[in-house]
Amino acid sequence: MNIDTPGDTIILGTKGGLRIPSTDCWNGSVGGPMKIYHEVCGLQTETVVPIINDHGPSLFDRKIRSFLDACKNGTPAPVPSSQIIYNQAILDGIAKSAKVGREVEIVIPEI
Amino acid sequence: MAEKMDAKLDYNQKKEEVVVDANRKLRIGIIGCGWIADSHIDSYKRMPDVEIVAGCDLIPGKAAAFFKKNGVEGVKTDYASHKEMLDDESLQLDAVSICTYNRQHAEPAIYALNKGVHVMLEKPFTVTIEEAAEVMKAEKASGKVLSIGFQPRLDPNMQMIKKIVDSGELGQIYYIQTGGGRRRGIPTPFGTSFIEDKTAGLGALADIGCYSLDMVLNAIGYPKPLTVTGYKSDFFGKDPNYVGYGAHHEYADLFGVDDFAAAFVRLEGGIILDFRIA
Ligand SMILES: NC(=O)c1ccc[n+]([C@@H]2O[C@H](COP(=O)([O-])OP(=O)(O)OC[C@H]3O[C@@H](n4cnc5c(N)ncnc54)[C@H](O)[C@@H]3O)[C@@H](O)[C@H]2O)c1
Repeated sequence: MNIDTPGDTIILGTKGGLRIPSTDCWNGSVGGPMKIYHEVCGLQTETVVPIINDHGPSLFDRKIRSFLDACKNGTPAPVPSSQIIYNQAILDGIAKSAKVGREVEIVIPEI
Repeated sequence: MAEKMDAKLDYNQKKEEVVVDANRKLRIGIIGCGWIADSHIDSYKRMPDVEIVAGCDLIPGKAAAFFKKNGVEGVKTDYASHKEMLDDESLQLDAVSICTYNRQHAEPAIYALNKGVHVMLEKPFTVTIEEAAEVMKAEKASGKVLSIGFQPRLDPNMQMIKKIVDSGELGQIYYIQTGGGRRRGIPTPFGTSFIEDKTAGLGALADIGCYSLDMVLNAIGYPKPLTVTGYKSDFFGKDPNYVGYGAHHEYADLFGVDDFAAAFVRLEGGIILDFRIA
């Protein structure tokens, strides 16, 4: 695309909005300190969420470790399919809607 | 509020000591020995309770070269496909990492789960929703662990997004804009598995779009998506003179996925998701 970024991520709520600075790809961490836009005593206020310094194991080590722990302990998957099916439904829905050129209903299959 | 949250807080200060029982080892196999498999083996090597016992790739010799390069010995690799490896009962596999291209996520995952093996499946889950449902049926029948490879979930700054939403600080969520992307980023450093329909199935959507979706959907508790209006294009991928291809002008002919996509999605709970990715 011919632009640096199509925009930060924003989450709007009735009491506050959150801005998450963009990165090329959200495969690691946030692109910079996040900001909460809210009101304090009637004044529009912005609160910067500081970056947490993370000196722990790499994200990939954590990904593998959390998976192994689930296998060993019989605990739920760290990133469960019951959630990611909705992520996949959106990707699939975009492809299907793009193909037919209009809005489509998302149908989640019975498991 | 900003003062209260100490910017110098070390994530590790709060880390619980994880005790790993190194006497109880898990026998691991790797399916697909390409780019991301390097990060899997790198991590497995650091785990005291792991024995890497097997690996396979569709390309003959690739798995053997992969383990050699990574300095792991005694691994069985003489398999023509994931099926042969998973059929080899002498391996006594506990779990596999599936590091294949997107179109080869569902089949090996189903085969492994049917064999009673835990599965770490790289993102995206699959290419189609139908494939994902088939994998979940196998997961349910097997009772084994299936986890999808979204490592940003474990980043403390990413985790703050969910904590902030859950704290109620934002009130009721009604609109989200997300996506992101690369200005010039069609990924072809190791060949064409990300750009051909027969291997990737989806382009930027599956390569990086799924991450931004996971970031925001996880933060708000993964509400069910209801409807979507989507758009995809391939103006850059189909251009033989696309700068990122260098001398590989033929990649334009092979390009069969999206290099840009946008969507307007309605989620349960009256939430709107406005999404674009490149
Ligand atoms: N989590 C992350 O940060 C991250 C990063 C990069 C890639 N990925 C994901 O990992 C997957 C693989 O990406 P990559 O860059 O390693 O691709 P790649 O093309 O470099 O490697 C894939 C390998 O899988 C092999 N393969 C395909 N089907 C197979 C089968 N049935 N049995 C055995 N081998 C098979 C191919 O021959 C190839 O060698 C993709 O789905 C991608 O989205 C995740």
